[in-house]
Amino acid sequence: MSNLKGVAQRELAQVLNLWKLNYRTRFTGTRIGRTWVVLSPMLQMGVYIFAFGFVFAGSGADPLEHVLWLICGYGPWQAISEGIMSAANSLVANKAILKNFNVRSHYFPIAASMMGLPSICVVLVFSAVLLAATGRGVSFYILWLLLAVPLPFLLIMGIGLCVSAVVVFVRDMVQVLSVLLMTTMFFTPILYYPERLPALLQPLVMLNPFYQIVQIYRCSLYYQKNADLLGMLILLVWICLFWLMGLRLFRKLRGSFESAL
Amino acid sequence: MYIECKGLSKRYFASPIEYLKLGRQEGSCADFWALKDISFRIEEGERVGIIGRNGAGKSTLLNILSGYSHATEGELAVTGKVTPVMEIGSSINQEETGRENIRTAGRLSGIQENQLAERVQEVIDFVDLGEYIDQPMKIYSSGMIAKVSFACVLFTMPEILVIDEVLGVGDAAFKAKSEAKTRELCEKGKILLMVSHSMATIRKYTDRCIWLDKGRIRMDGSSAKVTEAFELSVKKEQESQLLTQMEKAIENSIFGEQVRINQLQVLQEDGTFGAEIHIHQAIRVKAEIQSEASLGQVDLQISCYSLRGYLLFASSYHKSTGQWLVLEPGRTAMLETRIEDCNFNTGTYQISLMICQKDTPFAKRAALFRVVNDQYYNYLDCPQVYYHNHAKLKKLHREENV
Repeated sequence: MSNLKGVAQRELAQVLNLWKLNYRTRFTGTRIGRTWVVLSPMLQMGVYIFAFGFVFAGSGADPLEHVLWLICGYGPWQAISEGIMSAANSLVANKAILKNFNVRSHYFPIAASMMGLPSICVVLVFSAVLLAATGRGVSFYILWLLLAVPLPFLLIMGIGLCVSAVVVFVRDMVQVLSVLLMTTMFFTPILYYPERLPALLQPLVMLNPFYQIVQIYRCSLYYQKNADLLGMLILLVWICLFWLMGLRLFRKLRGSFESAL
Repeated sequence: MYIECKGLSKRYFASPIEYLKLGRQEGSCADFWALKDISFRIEEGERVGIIGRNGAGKSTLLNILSGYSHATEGELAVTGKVTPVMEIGSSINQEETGRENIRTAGRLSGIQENQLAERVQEVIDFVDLGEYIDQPMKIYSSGMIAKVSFACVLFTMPEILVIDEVLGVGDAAFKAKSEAKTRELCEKGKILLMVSHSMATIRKYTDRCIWLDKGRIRMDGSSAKVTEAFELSVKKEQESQLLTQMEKAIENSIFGEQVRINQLQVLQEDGTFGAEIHIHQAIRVKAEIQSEASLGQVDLQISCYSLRGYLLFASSYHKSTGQWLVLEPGRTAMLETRIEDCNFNTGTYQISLMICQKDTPFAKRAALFRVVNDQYYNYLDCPQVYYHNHAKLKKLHREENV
């Protein structure tokens, strides 16, 4: 049992090492180095919030309340899109490590999927400030964050396993993926209210796993109510599907990575 | 600790779509088997070399053993931690210092945080780069990068070290250090598995060798025997290619209008036409020359070349007899020359006959002959040379001043 625990610890340490290495490689050679880990998502989020919170915002709502609502939506989405893109590139970008170190190949997309973690941290810090500024305070519903934080990463890992394995053989997938993610963002009520979607699409939004993730954040921080259990169930089904598909695809393709890397 | 392969095969698919159709038994015509039915067992402490021509499947086998690639068929059992060294320096982050890269390599190799500082210092001492160790690696020379990369591997204490053509990097002093370290690892019962195109490297570092040929094991045995057989096979193949080239060159080199060499034969000592001439036999070279016009005094030049085109000897009728040859027009002359004591090694040689006037050639013809040396040490293209040494003892008288 202790042996198993030791192995698990070593493997977890390996994933964490790869995760840290991703950041080091990404910001190495820059003037402010690791500060970009937090600064980059903050700036991106700032631009979107300014644009959609103030420039394109309606006149009715309290601006701070609207910003909180936007952060709860765009922050998790930023983590999701960054995680998926990093995971997609993870095997190709780390082929030298894959070849020269005895590291399990599926750790690369898993570690890269967590690249959006700073975005989530920024969401939590900004939300805390805004909750205080708007006088909303913290409610019991904040406990939903215990699920809201890990669930998107579980989803990204599943998607990451699928796309990273495919990208090894079809590099065009990265370009397709970035367009797909942008399209998904605009078809998901992240920066606008679900009611603004065409009536035909509104029932379908429930099936969108990204919308469900955003909803859990909004329920715990903005609406301060229980998350929709059916939505949670749909999200869990998606996570299971992506993991099953990702593991199956990854296992099938990993034996031939070397020929394409 | 051991490595065991049973019927290991690896197929590369022709297109990415084929990768997705797994589980199917049939393959398309364009599919390529890099390895086919490989079986062997490597025990603790063994140092094994993998040799073979390009495309034989050496690197594919190492990739499978190191876990980077997977076999399409067969069983593989590896007990022990495999450390692959496939591309020296490729995993280095040039923006980071040598120290940071060593630390990263240690972490990726699974060294625990509480041992990391000690191990990093060991590597730093080993590579001995002085103050460069805290400089970004982008300013390092390629030799320095290779040193850091290789030292990182050695100090991760690999159980099974898998090396692809990268042993012996850096300067002479570092080579000696890394060689000693590699030997130390092997003496501790670790397994070394290396691919190299240098037979000298294989003989130096390994005691067992597996020769792969077109994805199959052709020979498995002591490094000395296997590398010798491999070298011989390569030479034979080269010889066959050179022979074809030389045959074509001979066909193209025949010329002569006013005078023609109709026939050129290399015969055995007794005048019979045999396939092979044995070392130390005499060779008889017979030629039939036909002259159409009166050329006056001409010379006959004979030269012998090895298969690789090295001139082994050359002689001329005029130089050896002091006379010129006069060919009567419309008549055929038979000429025969004799080369005493052929001291060539086993191989195919070219004898060339040329009729010329001063430096102007009139006719040329060449023929091939084969020599077999079954008596002495044999090395391609090198003639046997004997030195007759005579040592005489002479008493030295020293004049002493009284």
